[in-house]
Amino acid sequence: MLDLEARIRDWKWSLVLVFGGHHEIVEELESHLREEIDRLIQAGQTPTVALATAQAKLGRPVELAAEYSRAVAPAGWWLWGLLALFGLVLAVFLNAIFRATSMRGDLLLTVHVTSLTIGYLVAFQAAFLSLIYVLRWVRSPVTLGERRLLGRVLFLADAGVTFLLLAGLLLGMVWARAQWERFWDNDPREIATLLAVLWFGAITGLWLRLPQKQHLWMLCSLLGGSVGVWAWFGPHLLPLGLRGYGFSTWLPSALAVCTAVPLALTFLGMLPAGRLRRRSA
Amino acid sequence: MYDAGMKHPKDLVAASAVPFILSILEGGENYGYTILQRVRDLSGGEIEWTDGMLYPVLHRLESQGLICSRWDVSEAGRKRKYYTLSAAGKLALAELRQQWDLVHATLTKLWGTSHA
Repeated sequence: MLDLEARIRDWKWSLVLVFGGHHEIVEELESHLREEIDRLIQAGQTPTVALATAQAKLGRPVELAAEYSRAVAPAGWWLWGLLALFGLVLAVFLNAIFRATSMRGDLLLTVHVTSLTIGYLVAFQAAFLSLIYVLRWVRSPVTLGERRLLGRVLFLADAGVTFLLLAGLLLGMVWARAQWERFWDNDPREIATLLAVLWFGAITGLWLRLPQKQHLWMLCSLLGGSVGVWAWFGPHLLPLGLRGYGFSTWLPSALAVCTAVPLALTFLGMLPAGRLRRRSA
Repeated sequence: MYDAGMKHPKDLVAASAVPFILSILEGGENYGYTILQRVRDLSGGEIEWTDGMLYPVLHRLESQGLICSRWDVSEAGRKRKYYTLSAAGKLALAELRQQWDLVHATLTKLWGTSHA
């Protein structure tokens, strides 16, 4: 026997996930669904058919959220400004790294180093954007326009990180084959990069498969910053004489902070929407 | 805002959505579900909006200040969000009415027919 209330609750929960705390919107859509179900049942349909028909007429939650995003004001200028700043930083780093490594006259090595460095940089920027998203989300519902833009940017960033790190990894393997006659030497940094590729690749794949869980994937992007930090700097904790970056003495503390803060914020982000928000009068 | 089986171009339906909503609300307070039914009834079933597409438009109109809303509870104990036309909405409706009257008058001249 159909438990209509349970099915409506499940559907409502799927709306809560995609609308990220905009409870009025969810309440209104639920009210509409119930009215339509009542009308269809009175017209002679069974509750099962009425529920399915009413849900189909409203549309999938992801599509509803997309329609709302198109109808509302776009993301604020502050977010666009931040993205422009990140783009500028990337451009500066890209130029600097390319110049520095190209002086060695090895194009393959240059592209390998550039790809990896830019990949990690994008991962850190994505984590920072996710951090801002969570800090705003904890205090009040993120506007639909901002949520839509952030979601798109973070998805593209995660996909981009996957591509850049994988490309860097493969180019490194080709370079190593040419230099040392072997593709893989169990270099801790390469292993760590492979793990980072798996992490970001998994987020990208799951985001494509389950876009309604966007909030969860944005939290994973936040944790991706920790993954990137550990993958890039973590191997230097190993007593293998790897070339350091000149700040090895405080590396363990930095890694601890870069792990604890994202974990704490991810935990906050997993709380029910609005749990920590100030209640309006 | 269109139905897959509809014979009216979606651009036309989308363009007419705001005048429809504002005009219906000019007649008094209403909520989303009845706005949909009203459009269906007035058009004799010819214009049928996709249910989920009305609410984003209402959301936008409210954010623009053209309509106001309040929550209330129906006789059946169900929460409903009622909408009314604001002063700004009345001005916007008057302007839309002029625009649509102009389009209608121009097409009438072009087609050489008069409409009741």
